[in-house]
Amino acid sequence: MIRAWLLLLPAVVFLGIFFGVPIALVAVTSFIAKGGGLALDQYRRFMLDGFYRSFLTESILVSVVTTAACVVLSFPVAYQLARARSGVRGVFLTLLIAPLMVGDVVRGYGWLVALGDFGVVNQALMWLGVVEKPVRLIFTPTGVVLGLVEVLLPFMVLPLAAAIGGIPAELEEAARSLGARHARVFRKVVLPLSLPGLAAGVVIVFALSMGSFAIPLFLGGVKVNMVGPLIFQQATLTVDGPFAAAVSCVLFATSLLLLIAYAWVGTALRGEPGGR
Amino acid sequence: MESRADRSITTSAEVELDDIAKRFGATEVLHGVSLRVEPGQFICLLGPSGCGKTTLLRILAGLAEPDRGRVLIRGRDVTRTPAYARRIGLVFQNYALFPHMTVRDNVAFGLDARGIRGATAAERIEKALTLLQLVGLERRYPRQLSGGQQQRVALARALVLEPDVLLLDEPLSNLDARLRQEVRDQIRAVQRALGITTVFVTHDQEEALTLADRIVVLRAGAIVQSGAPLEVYRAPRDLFVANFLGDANVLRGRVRRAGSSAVFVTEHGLELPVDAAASDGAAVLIVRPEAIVLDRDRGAVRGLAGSVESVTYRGPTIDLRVTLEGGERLRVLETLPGREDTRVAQRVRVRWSERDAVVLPAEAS
Repeated sequence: MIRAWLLLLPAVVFLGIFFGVPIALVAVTSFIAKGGGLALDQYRRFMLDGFYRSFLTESILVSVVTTAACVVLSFPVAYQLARARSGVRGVFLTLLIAPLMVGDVVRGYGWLVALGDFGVVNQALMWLGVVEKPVRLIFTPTGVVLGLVEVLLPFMVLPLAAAIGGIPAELEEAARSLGARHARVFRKVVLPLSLPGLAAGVVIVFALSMGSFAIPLFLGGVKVNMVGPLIFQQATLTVDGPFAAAVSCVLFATSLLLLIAYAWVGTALRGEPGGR
Repeated sequence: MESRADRSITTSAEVELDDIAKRFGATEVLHGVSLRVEPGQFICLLGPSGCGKTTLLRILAGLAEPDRGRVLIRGRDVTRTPAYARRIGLVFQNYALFPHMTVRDNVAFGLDARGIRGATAAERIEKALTLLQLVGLERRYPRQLSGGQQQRVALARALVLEPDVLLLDEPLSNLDARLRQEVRDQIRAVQRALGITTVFVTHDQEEALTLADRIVVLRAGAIVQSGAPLEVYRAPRDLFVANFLGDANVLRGRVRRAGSSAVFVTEHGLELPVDAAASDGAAVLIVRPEAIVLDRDRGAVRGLAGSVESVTYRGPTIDLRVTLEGGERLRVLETLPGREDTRVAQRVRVRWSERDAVVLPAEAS
């Protein structure tokens, strides 16, 4: 028993040094006041200044929409992935993961080209006669959401597919034999039993979206205010270490809160005798 | 026995499968199976794994589509009707209970899906729970139940809808021996009480023999034999059926006809009188172990001489291997008590009644 725990030691030490210590340093830095000493100045500035607060609200808004879009888009994909024959599933998985091989900087640039005023999307829309003038897509929240959904979709599909894969196909067949049409089978059987996977996907996608950097930078520019680029700008351009640290801590706290909520929901689901 | 003509006039079959064929990729798992199930009948589809019995059941349920043929339930062609619109009750090997619902919600599921709610639903749920002795367990979740209880919930869930047909796919195979018998008897009792037409899939011959009004033996995607349990057991159409339904002693040889009588001559030259209807040529003789009479009398002259090779006591029965003088080996099953003194190497004579022996042409083996 003790020996098994010892095996965890290297990972714990590594995370302690390279994750725990920097976080602690950032946390301490965030409390440094202008003239020296410790204070909540940085947090006050971030939360009370409407301009800075808009970074947090806009990040949350974009992340909520992104997460919701991912949920809706992922369910059919995850279902097919989970129920596909193993050969087909391999191909499916590769296609799903392949975009992850290309960093999001490359994809951000790709989206910039595609969504630009004279990009592929607008050209196509104009050619089809849907619009007369180019539609503003880049440097709008819509553009950022589009890019984020594309980048983050696999992180929703994978946990969801794992959860659906754990639901015996017989349960769906039983439901159908009892008179349930597809929509009811989904609502009453597949959805409730895949909730743990869905919750995991929501947490991952929301957290990644809140902290995203390259996509908001490319597709949001200076028009969409998100926390990731703000931290980068404060830390490297404005060289306001304490402020960047405070924003980082707010971001970290948001993700942490979400994780705690997930753990709580998870226990609640398991606590109910039918939960799986 | 009602005649075929009678049947076609008085009733249309409750369930009718007409020339059902199904292939998965390159392999055809069902080659044109036709089957009629009369109202209230309990039939067992019996066969080894891979014989197509489960596929046939799935086609009946609407969970698989046949490549050819028709499925009729109460005279209505439902071949292309989806499962949810057929009035069938389906019970799975693994019960397939909804793990996130209580016993009551599991049973209510089908009623709710058909828009039956409120007092009517409550009444029917109550009836089903009472019938399957589940009262008091309504608020439990499936994982809090024993295997036998889970299977009863699965039955209640299917029966509460008062389906036209009840389909059961190896419902007993996940239960231990004692429970299996209990649930088996329960299924039979409930089926009799409701008079519901039932199709039961199994690979267990004992289940089929004890439960069915009619056994349908399947092999490699085709029906080999169909009939009342005793009929199929006593008069198997071929060696496969003989061996699949219980144990069979098989002697190889040929039939020689002499005038109005016939004898079976074994490979070792033993001559056994057989039913006069047997035709000339290479044949096999099948006799059940329990049909053989063992004579321990030293002075006995009737029957075939041999010696006891092994003796196994099985509680109520005694299981003997006897080697005949010609070298043929037979299994003999006798009922205790009174046979306890049998010894290995004891000289015995064996015989059986002509009507207990089945003679089949060799090609049927």
